[in-house]
Amino acid sequence: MHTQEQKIQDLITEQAAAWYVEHREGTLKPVQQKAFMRWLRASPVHVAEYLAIAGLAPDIGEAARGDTTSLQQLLDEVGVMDRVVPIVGAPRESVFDRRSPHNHRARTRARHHAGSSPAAAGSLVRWLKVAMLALVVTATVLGLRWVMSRPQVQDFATSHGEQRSLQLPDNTFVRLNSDSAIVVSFSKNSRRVEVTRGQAYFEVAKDPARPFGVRVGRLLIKDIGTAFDVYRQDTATTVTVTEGQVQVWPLSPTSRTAGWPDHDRQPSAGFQGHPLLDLVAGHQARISASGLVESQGPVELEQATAWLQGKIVFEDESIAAVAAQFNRYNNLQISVNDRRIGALSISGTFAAHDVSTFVAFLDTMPGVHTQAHGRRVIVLGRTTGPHRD
Amino acid sequence: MSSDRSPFWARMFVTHQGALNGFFRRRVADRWDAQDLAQEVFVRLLRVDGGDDSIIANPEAYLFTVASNLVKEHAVLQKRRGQSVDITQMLPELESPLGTPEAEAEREFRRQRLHAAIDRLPPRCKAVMLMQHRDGMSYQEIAVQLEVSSHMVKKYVVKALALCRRSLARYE
Repeated sequence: MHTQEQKIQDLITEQAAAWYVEHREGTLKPVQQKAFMRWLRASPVHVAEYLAIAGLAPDIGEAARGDTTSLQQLLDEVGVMDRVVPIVGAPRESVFDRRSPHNHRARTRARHHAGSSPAAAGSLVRWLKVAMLALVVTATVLGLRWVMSRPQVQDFATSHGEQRSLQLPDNTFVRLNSDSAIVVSFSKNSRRVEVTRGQAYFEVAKDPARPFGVRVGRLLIKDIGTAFDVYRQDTATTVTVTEGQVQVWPLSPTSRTAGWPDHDRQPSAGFQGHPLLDLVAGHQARISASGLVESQGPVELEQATAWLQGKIVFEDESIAAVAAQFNRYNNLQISVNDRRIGALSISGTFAAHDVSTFVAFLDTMPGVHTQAHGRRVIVLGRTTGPHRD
Repeated sequence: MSSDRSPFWARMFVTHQGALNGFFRRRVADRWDAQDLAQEVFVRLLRVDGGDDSIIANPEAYLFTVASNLVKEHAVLQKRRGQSVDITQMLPELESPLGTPEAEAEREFRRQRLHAAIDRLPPRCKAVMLMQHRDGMSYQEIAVQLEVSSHMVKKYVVKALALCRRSLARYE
């Protein structure tokens, strides 16, 4: 399939570009060097793409210098205001959304004049609300810089299939995955975030005077100037570090009701002895709800953080597990009704919202066919087998 | 790995960058093209030390060394076989960043296509690319301008580079 090939080629190009950019930032750590070598050795296509990027990159600087667009024009095109996130309601568009708010407004207006339908009017009102909230938030953010004496508590949540980006008052960047919620509590000497549901990615702004901690059930993740991902599930929590280093501490059972330990002033108070584990960049750990470290080790970051780019990346994973991933992001639900089919392992990269391409891909597999029933797609084996549910 | 090695690797990179850039700028005028080069480099990467990937401390430098050596080796072989590739045209181009008038013309064409590619980038990618390469701004400085984290800036840098590459690949 041409488009599928194109997608794979695009992914390889992005990987090559990512490795190239990584190399230009300084010498890679041995663990990264190994990962890069593994990537190169995976396919001659990887080697070709890396060499092509290396051949192209030096010319980009020259081409860029020929561009006369002013800095202000560039910023206008980007529409810096759309970075500011309303604190309540109003689902946000993806960070990767290419529309600027100016275009968005123009389109909304055009529709309003043309049809004046309730939907169009509704979206104008919604936009105005968002704009007003954005102004309020800007003012709040600026205000917070000066008045930090009282803890500020804010809730953020996403609904099914929605992702959101947040910029916290300290400039920490947070991305919330689908069906996720956090509670942010900042005071003048601490920064605390509780992940109450789902998955969140943090790029923590440095502020030595105010330690940053993320609480997930009975775990406390202490940040040491870094970026990491936390995925809270019913039975376990997965922590992935993309930059820097974190420490994961167990909280004593009593602290569940007592709230946060005072980790800000006396790092050891309220903790049970030692940290559960230290996790460095490129590593992931899975900790059970009862506080046991189930697994810990290096991880393919591209894959682990693919959701940040609205992608689902899987390598040698069962169809059932991949279908569950798609179901996290979409209202259209995939059910795998054949255990043997569900257990088959597949590899690939898909846009998280592109269920139809994934279903089409399943249809190309020998012995697999799919049936659409309204908001549900059923995956079946071609012949009736004894293991059929 | 000790960081004191990096100046050495940086020099190595600069040395080979010219050769690679030249190679991809002006595709060799026979069937031995970029695909073949990549295939040959790939085979050598696989052969290294029986699969122990920890022996090569810096795979990128190794990659560039092997690739540029292969390009030169190939030019010499072609010369010996008396085929059409003119080594006097090829090697100076590989060694010097300027190259022949012919290569210069091709380079200008490529620069124009790149310029068009940059212009078509999504706003954020375009802004990041120009701020970085034209205005010489650091990730941190760009992050402040765009009100995003520097980690996001890096993501846009990668995205922009990949899109430029894809956009030019269509011509090849």
